[in-house]
Amino acid sequence: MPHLTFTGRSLRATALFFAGAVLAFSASTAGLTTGKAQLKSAGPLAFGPDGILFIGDSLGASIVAVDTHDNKPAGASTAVDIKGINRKVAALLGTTPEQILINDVKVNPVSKNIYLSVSRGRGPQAIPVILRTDAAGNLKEVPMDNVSFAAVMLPNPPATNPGDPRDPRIDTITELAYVNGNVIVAGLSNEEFSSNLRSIPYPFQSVSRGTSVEIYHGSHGRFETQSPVRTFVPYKIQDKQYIVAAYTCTPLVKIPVSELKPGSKLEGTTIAELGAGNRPLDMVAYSKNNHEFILMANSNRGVMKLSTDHLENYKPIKAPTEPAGVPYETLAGLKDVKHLTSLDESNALVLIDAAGSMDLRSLPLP
Amino acid sequence: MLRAWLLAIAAVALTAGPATAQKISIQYEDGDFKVTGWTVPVPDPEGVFGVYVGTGNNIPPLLGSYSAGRGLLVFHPRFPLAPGVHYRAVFQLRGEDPVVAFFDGPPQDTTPVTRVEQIYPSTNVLPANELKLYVYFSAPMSRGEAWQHIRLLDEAGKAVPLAFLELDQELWDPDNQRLTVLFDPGRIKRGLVPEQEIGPPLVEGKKFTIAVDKDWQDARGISLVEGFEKAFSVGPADRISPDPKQWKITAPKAGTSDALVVDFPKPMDYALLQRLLSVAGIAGDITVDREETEWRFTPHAAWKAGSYSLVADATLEDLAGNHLDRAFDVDTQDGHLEEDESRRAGTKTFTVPFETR
Repeated sequence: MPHLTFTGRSLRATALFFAGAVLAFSASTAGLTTGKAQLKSAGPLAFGPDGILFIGDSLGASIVAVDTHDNKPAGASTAVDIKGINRKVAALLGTTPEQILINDVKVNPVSKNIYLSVSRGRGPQAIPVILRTDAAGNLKEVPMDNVSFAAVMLPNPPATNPGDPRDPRIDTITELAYVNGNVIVAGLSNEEFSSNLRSIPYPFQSVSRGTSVEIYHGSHGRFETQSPVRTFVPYKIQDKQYIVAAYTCTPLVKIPVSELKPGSKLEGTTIAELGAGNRPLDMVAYSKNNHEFILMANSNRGVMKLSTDHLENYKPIKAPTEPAGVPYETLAGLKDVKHLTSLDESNALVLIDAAGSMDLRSLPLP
Repeated sequence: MLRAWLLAIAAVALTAGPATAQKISIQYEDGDFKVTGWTVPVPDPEGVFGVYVGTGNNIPPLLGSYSAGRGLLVFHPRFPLAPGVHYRAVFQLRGEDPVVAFFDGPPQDTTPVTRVEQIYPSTNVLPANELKLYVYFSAPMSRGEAWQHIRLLDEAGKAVPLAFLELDQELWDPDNQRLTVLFDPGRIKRGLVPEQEIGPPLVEGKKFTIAVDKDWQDARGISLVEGFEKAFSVGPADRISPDPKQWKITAPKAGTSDALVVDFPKPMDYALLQRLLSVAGIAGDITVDREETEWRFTPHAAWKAGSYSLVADATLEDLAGNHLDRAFDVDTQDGHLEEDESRRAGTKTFTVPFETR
């Protein structure tokens, strides 16, 4: 059964999850210190256990884990329809909607509160802010002062001019997820073109910055490139943990998490090839009526629903053959989706940007 | 420090009552909003005083912290007032009319000053599988609108659709002065659906232009001084790794601080030449010249007579993203796989010795 980690898919799964959460409480907060969590930028977000929020900070070349203490279970599922969230965010931060960027949206799987990763300003002096809102649109800042947090620095190649703090190279973090005790980080350099998928054990350890794995993509078993992963979603196939990942060059592949090991060279197994101009932004995995699906926000084609039954049947392609690919359809009437994430068992959450007004809406899983 | 200009102190509430018997005023001083002229206790400062952006309704008040003393209520905004933004401060005691005052953030300089300085590669002949561009600006830029303002135009001046990898994150340097633009790798890499459906964005033998329009906003929110165009023609695709054995090294004379000069048979990636090529154990300054076919290294101290090593990281790229140790897309069936696999598994740096006399 596929599932997003820590988003229970059934009553039974939810019950197991909470039992696990209690047991894991001390483990998930181990290694946290109290103080000011330093963020230079706020990019992709991900939730771990017990309200731990992971924040990807590309400018600071770090992943910051913050204990939100937001772990009171949500009540009944509530529809979300917050219109003009960008205006509200800008007003809260004392500026105009043109001067904010909403960089990511994620839902705390326990409380169902919605977390936004925001830049106040769009220049190099932009201030990173994490906000949270309930389903009614009541916005609050998630403080970074006097919080329990931990941070891990991502290794950087040698600086352009050693000693010069103005190194132009950045690894831009494009996606984050917590999977079975590891934070998986996808990123892309603004200089060399190479794959950069990193698996970092959590709680963070001072000696381990995790494992960087070179990811290759072979098209039709022939042409092979290093392929940066743009976005991915944790996914279980026959009880084995994978990520389903979209490369920057569009194929959708499955990668077993167990093989994200030091020094390994991985080649994702293609499960679908998307057409020209597709830019997968976010994915949500879910089950419905005993079938498995991935919902994908795609900048060029709206929201696509992929049927992902029996992904175990996809094998690495050794010969130049056309991959069959999973069937997919594009959902009618959903355009301008900038972010897509899991809300609860029956709903996804979308951030829609229509003519400058951004709305947060729940979307019943199709 | 930011200043705000008090435009008006709105009318003092004139209804009768002990709280409004005095003149209530709202002022902005030293980064704080201060309300004076009232006497009743205010157990809940957030409930009686808020500062809002503009005049719209249904928006939350500014984030910030409150403190209340005898006859003085202070709101300290979490962030400084933004240039060009209007603010509305509202103080309302229970059962009383609101006292409203309007303020402006600091004035906004609207003079365009920012330009595109250069687009790399600087050569005007690019390979058909060109992988990336660097756009350099004279001042910091705003994020979030790059893909509206940079286009690839064909010979007829028509925009080539879907030419670039339009990442929402936008690959800026930390100063927002250099944007890295990748051509869509799905259209360059052979054998993929996009490459087969619509082909690569650049076509050998044709002419193209990279056009940046002037409406792109700098970090102040002001447009560029003018647009920028880089015209180029397209040569054959390059699928061959750069070979350090083919680099021409002109060694400097011992006892001088003359530059070591390395000439390449084809242009290399401008940014990576600054970072991935060095002289082992020697500090110096790097310049890149002759349309990225020449690398010059001037040592901080004079060369001594003897042996030195030029060290190149294997991830140094040419214009088509071919690394020193593997091409951008390796054809695993052309008979070179074995060689390529061994190179991939091998060293991560290439060393080229040279002598100074």
